Amino acid sequence: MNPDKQEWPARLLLSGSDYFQLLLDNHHRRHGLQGNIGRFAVEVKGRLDVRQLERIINDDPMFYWLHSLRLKKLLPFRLPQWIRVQSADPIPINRFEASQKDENILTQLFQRDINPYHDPPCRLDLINFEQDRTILLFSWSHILLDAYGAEILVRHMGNALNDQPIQLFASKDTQRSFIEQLKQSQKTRDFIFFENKPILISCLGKRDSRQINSYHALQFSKTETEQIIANCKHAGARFGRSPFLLAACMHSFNDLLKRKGIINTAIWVPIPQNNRKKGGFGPVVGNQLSYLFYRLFPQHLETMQKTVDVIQQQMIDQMREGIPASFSIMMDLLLRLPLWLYDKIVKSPTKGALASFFFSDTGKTLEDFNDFCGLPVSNAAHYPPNSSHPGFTIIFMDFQHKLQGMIAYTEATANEEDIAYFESSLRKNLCG
Amino acid sequence: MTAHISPSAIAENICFFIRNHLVIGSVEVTPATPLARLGLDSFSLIEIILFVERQYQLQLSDEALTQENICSSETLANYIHQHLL
Repeated sequence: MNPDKQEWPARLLLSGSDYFQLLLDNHHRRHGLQGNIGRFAVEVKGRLDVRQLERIINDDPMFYWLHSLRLKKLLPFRLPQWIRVQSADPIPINRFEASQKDENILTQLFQRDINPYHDPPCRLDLINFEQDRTILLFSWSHILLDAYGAEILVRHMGNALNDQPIQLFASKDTQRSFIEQLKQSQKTRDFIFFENKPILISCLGKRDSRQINSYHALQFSKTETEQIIANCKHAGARFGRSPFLLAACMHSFNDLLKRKGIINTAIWVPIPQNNRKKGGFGPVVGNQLSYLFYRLFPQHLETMQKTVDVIQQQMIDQMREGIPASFSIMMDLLLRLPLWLYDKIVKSPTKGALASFFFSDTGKTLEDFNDFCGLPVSNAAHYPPNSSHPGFTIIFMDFQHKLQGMIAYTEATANEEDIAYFESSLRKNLCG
Repeated sequence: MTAHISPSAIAENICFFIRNHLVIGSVEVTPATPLARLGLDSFSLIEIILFVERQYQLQLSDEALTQENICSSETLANYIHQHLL
């Protein structure tokens, strides 16, 4: 079915946050084997009816419109944008039949790229296992959607939003003067690159190693999750669990650096902030993210309590200074810049590095995700994009009242033994 | 300063901020609603603290920002009223 040409935009301008993801897409391609691709897997008990799913997505003009978007080749000083291409082809769902032992089929699917200039920005793979188990894997270009938007889209597809409406697009931002934008951008630039000099970034991975991504899931029981919440309080986490989870990751990451003989001078982690209003489902399209930046030195890692304190203080200070908002303004200002120049501006003060590792906590958005297309959901997890430089990403999420994590890494960054060590250290920091 | 303001007025003011900036329109926010139940993340909780600081021209110390004090709009308003205004 074709979308109504009158209703669906023929082009969609990228926001500053989307363009930043395009920058990351280039970074991922330069240092790895694929672009900035997010993945969300939903596992259900039973055999998901592929025809039913095909009907849902092909009868919905929204899915058809998303499927028809391609990124337009960038022209100097023109705003980057998605354009709608005409196609009468139905949206495909790639189907696989697998035996119980054949879990590595997911690993193979994780290696598939999405080229935003040539491919549809989203892809659906459906794996039917023997014994009535199905996994739906939704992959998307991060330039178009962030993890929250993708989650809403998938749940909408599976009629799993309790008939709540979704909001597709963000409302228009307030326009600011060019001078105001410059001022805000200058503030962010000074904060990120010049305060607390020197910025010394410790990385596990080798650059340009072009290794494939591997994933390792961390599961916590309900009892462990409750213990983690109790430990949050003991460690002095006053603003929810995220600072505690980040502190635990920093300690375990530092332990891993020591184990590998890397002398750590500072850990530098950008954290995405979800700017959506809570309680609703949207906006779906576009990255609604801003960033905070944490810089921790070895003396901040003496105890968990101290680390949590420092993270919370840095969080308050940055929000008081309006750094996340200024960073968003800076990203909007850089929209017209050619990517090569943007890349140089972002990376030159840090000698090409973007972070020590990437961290994200999507919170409790999956707490009530119980049904998908009428079948009980037994698991749902995000598989974050990961570049081989720095090559280490960890994301936390709650699923049905249980905390779970996903570590993305490359062989150049860590081997299986390192990941087992990291997990053991992390469990000790979180549950101990 | 606003020393005459009642705790319930402060709580209502906080609820007004939450309704307008942090949650969608259909979410019910009352002074007694636990903030955790609204699905607010760490950043949103800090937004509330910064709103209170701006609105009442005060700075909340680390000691003030306990989990008990930032449990709901009401608990935060009571703390502000008792200790700071």
